[in-house]
Amino acid sequence: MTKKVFIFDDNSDILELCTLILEDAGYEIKTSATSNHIVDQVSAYMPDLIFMDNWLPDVGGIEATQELKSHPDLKNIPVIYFSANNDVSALAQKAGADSYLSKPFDIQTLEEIVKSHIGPS
Amino acid sequence: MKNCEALIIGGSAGSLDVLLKVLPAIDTLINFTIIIVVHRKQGMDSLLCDLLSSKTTIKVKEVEEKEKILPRTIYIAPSDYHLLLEKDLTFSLDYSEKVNYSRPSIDVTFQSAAEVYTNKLVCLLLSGSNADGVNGLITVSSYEGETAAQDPTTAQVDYMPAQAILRANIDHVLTIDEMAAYINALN
Amino acid sequence: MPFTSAISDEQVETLISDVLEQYGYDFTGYSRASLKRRLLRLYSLDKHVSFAEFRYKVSNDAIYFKRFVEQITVNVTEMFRDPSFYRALRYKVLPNLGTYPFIRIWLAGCSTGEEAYSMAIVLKELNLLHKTLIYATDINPTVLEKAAQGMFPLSQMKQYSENYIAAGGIKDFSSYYSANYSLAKFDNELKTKMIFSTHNLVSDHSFNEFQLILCRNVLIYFDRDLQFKVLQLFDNSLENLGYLALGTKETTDFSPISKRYKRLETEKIWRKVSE
Repeated sequence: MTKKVFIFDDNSDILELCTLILEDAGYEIKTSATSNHIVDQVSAYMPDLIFMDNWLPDVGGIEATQELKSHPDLKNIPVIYFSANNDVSALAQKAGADSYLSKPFDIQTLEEIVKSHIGPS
Repeated sequence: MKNCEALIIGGSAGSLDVLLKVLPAIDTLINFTIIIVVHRKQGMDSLLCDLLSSKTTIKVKEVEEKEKILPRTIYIAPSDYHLLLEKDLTFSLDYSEKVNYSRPSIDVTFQSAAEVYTNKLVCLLLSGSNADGVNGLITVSSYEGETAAQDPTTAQVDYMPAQAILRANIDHVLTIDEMAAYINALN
Repeated sequence: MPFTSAISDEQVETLISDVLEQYGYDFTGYSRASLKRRLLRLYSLDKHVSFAEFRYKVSNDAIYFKRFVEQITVNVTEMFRDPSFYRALRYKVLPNLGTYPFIRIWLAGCSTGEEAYSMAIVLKELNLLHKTLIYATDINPTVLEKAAQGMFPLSQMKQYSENYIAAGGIKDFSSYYSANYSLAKFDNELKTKMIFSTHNLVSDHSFNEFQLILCRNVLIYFDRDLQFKVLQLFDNSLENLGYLALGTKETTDFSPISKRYKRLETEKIWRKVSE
């Protein structure tokens, strides 16, 4: 079964690039530019892995991740926090994310972090 | 056209997909330069470059200020700057007002290149949701360059190429499958 | 018949030499592609009927010439543009400068002042503003007048606020300005540490020694030779161990000064490591 990745970022270019890269690597990708109703969004798709940007409008990456991590059915989905902030690791910790990725990143780094969490496609 | 010196490909939403399909099929021994101008927001320039680079053995690089324009190389216009070409065949960057709400603007690069390459220039406009590039194609034609547009029926967003066909007297309308062959024949 | 644009390359050269002769402004080192583009833009904007008429007006109407300079040079700027650059300033550069008893910063090509106010805000938040002076210069006196007022369109504040936050800003951005009809007027306190003056990078000389010089997205409009000349000017104006900051696509590479400067990781910021 194809492994599914859900990417949350308000930058449509990043969503497009990550989609193309990870689809190429054989994963199925869903994207969203908002973290509103995060529980509904994630429940409807049930991904194997989530990428969460820090700067999502309204709810924001931290709050959205915290919501997911306190939900019984969704808390075990690994969340990788990403941001261009200097303190991305502190933010990821605050959010309760499983891991983090600093922007800018390259293709290899992106593929490797996905592989390390959910294995190859 | 034969003995083309420069091919410029412009596009917006939906173009990346086309480029990823076409790049692998381009002959590595092309004798001309390829310049790619796609609308994008600032940031992650290297990721785009990496992605396109992974699809071809032709050298792919992001434009550097005042860099010499070399054949058999694919240049990517950086985000948030207009890309201009100088008569001495170097690149110049410009941070003036957005044109058609865009920076880089496809019109700006097409028009700049038209003056430099005149009848040795080919410009191709892909999928996108605004008409940036259409005026550029008109300028390219007036300098006796060749113009092409993606077949709107194959485009994710057909507005851009459709406007080009409507307003710019395009020489060729190409489906995605026809593009690589067309490009390879420009040598 | 091949197309010709309203102004030919030769006519551009004629205009440049007229301007040099008449007013002493030297545009000969400017990159031609963008210069020509801006000339064509002005020509069209002001609905000139012929190149001869345009040329005559530029040479003989000193007031029009002022507009000419304003329009030929690019004045587009925004607050906290390239947030990662301001982050590097906030976390790496300015804390180092904070060890000096007094900080002198030169912002060359400051345009309408957005960068100067951004810099002042970061300095304030680092508690360094009180011992800093920002020298903000530009070729264009009109933009300096605007910069001195410290008022920017209110409509831009949302974007600037986002930039500010991404740049590591810790306060409520709106606490730095008050709304005045359609303008946002920035705190006077920020301005007290700024000195605005005209300065032409092509013709004017070094006027002080600084610990930080910023010149972002100005060099892109100059040709290689002029870039080297200006970098030399900056080198002459920079203390040892001082910092030089350029635009995201600019570089000191290939210039005569490059060997004495060490680049800070990912940003276009260099530290002078020897005289």
